[in-house]
Amino acid sequence: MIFLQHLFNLPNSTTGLDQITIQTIAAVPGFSTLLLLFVFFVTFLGGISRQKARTGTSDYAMLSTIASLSTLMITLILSAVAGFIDLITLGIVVAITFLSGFWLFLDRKTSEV
Amino acid sequence: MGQIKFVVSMVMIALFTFAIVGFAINFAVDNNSAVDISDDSSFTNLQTQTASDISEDFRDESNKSYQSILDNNVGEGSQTTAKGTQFSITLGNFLGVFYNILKIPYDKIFGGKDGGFGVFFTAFIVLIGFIAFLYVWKTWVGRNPD
Repeated sequence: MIFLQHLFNLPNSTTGLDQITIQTIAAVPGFSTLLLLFVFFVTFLGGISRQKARTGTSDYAMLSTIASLSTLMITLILSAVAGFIDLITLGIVVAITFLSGFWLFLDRKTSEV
Repeated sequence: MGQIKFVVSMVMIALFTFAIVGFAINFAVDNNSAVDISDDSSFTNLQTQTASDISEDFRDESNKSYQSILDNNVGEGSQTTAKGTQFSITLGNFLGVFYNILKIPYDKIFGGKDGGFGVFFTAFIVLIGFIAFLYVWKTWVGRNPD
């Protein structure tokens, strides 16, 4: 039998899926950041395109706040396990949430939220 | 009406920031998270500063002045407002809060004073200042500022 040579080390799956992901992140450090960016942009861009299709205008400030809050929730949940998210990324996500909130409340007209 | 809207926006921004940081800190405490945002001192400092700017002085001082309204006999020098801070929750306090709130994204995202973005911000602010100056000057002189 011929076994194919793997070009990478297979992750150790003894302890389960958490450890597989953590080993992947250790091998490719940008993975967790790109995952969070994915969550942010799916919500943001998806919201903009669907709102524009439905109503004709899109509320960028509100959608960026919603997207950054979703990203914050996912970041907090992932930060419970060691190795997924590092402190700098968490700080940046919270900072982006502040900026979105700042934009949101300065963008409202008198009768809105 | 514009000023009320502006001040309401300022209050909402301060409360929103306070709520987000408080939520993140308490989530980490409740779940014994491995990565805890309270390990980053700038966020906990922001939290305590915002809390004291908005609520504590205000509450204590307004309690004291309320007490002096209820009492029939206010002794000389007692129960008067030591600092008068319940009347001083004005735009000045909130500008201090905003400076703190905006400083954190500046440090985290752009790297703060030592990051390379200083040049970008300086050039951008000079440009905005130039445009604002021209706008004001043209309006003053009577020409069409557009």
